[in-house]
Amino acid sequence: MLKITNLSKSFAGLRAISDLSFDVPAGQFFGIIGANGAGKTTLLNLITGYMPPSSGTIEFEGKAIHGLPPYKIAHLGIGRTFQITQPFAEMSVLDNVMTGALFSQNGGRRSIAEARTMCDEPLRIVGLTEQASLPAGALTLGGKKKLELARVLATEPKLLLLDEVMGGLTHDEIEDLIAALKRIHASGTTVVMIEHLVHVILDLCEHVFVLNFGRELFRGSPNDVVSHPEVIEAYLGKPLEAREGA
Amino acid sequence: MNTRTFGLLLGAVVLIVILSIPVFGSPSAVDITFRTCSLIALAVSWNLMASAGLISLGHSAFFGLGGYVVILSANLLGMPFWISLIASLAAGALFGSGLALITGRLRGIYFAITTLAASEGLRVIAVMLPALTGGAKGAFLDAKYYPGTFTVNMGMSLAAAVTCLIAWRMSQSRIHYAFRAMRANEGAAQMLGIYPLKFRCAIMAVSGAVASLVGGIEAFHGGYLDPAIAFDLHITITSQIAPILGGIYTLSGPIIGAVATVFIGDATRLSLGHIEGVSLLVFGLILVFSILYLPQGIRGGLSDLWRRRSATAEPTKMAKP
Repeated sequence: MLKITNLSKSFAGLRAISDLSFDVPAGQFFGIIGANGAGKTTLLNLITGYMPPSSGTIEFEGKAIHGLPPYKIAHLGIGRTFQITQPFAEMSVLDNVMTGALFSQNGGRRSIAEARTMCDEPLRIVGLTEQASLPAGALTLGGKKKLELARVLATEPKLLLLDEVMGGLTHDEIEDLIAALKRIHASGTTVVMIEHLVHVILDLCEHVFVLNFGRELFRGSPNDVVSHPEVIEAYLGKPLEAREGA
Repeated sequence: MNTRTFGLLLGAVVLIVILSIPVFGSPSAVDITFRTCSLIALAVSWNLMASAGLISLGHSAFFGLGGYVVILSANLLGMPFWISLIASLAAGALFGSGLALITGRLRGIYFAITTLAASEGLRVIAVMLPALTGGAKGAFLDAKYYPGTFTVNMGMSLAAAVTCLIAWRMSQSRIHYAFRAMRANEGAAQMLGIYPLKFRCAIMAVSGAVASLVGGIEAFHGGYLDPAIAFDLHITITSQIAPILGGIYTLSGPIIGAVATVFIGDATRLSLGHIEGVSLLVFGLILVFSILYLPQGIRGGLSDLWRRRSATAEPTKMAKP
């Protein structure tokens, strides 16, 4: 569904992304992990058209999408949340989500009333129904993360790109959101997830891609990844007992 | 009564008043209405752009352009009143959407400065083309094209009324969601499928057309135009003082603000006009204090007052947020 071939991005002399190639088949739950600065968010910015790649290609459903502006990418059915939340602060939570429902690929055919009804579901999934009439700027960080997800769900994406959507949430909220993402995935959405919480990756992802300094370090099943020595060295760190024992 | 019915009622009253005064009003009432309607249309037009995150410092560009289009199309082409106003509408819309294309992704202060430069640029062009515009000496509207006081006054009332209706219609539509999203964060708005340039072109075409129309009617009203009058910074400033004073990003704010600005301006001029400079000083002070103590504008202040009153009147009911 998403095919990335020899993708590179340089900022002046710095190679943020270096010759990456991978393939996300339709229906997969795909995880991307890596230390801070490994290029995870840059990769999402390249896929969603916020930056042009220096070289390489990005294909979505067989069609080259590199070089397209973000709104066209969104119209193709790719949704994305932002690591640094970008709520429309003065609008209510509901209006934020409705904006997603009104301007997506099928949004043009929807009336405002239809868009409003449609937003019940995303708000319920993320657990923001109670706060729907609050201004988005008044939400906590966790609330804003949930709003990011609800807003992108309202665009009905075929491919969902999540940039650390769990960051800043409490334990219970994370459990709720894991359950929600499982349902979203089960309903047929392909998900690419950047996440630092290893237990979330283990729980959700079928395939994990490890980035290190913009290069591929390893790819495989979640269990292979967490037991791979190089990944442990570069990202996860050695378990405490092991270090004490050494 | 909630704010929505209040808003609709206020809108209806304003429409009836501004459309009936040119018919029934005394000359001074007609004059005040003309100036108020002119400012209402300019303020609503400025606020439309502001609500999409586009702060204009060049509304006089549209105003002056409309004025010159009217004078030239009447004098040179012999177009009648209504046709030349349509020409000024079209010119404003073209210039607005053209400016949107040129400014592209510029935001905030960078966008604002470009609009200021556009206005200055047009002023310089008007000075440099004396064969066409009369240059710095200005140009008179040929008296035989003057359509009569009533038509000009009614034209301005209609312009204000239609502008308010357009703004109201937009506030009820999906465009309203795109504008607010763009104002908050144009980058994130794109990921929801919003193409900012499309909405920028649309809103600047509408806003430019309205301001240009006002300039056109003002040109008929005054019968004379020179570059300093047409592209006066004063137009740009009052176009934004009115919405800020009344309540920026709101529907009724620019209208309330325009009425208040004309009222405060006239009151200070009539009571203090005999001492030179003092009336403007007091006018300025009132504006400064209003903005200091009513950060949400007069409209925000009124709805706060309303909420507090209904909260004390019906202590059992919760005030609506």
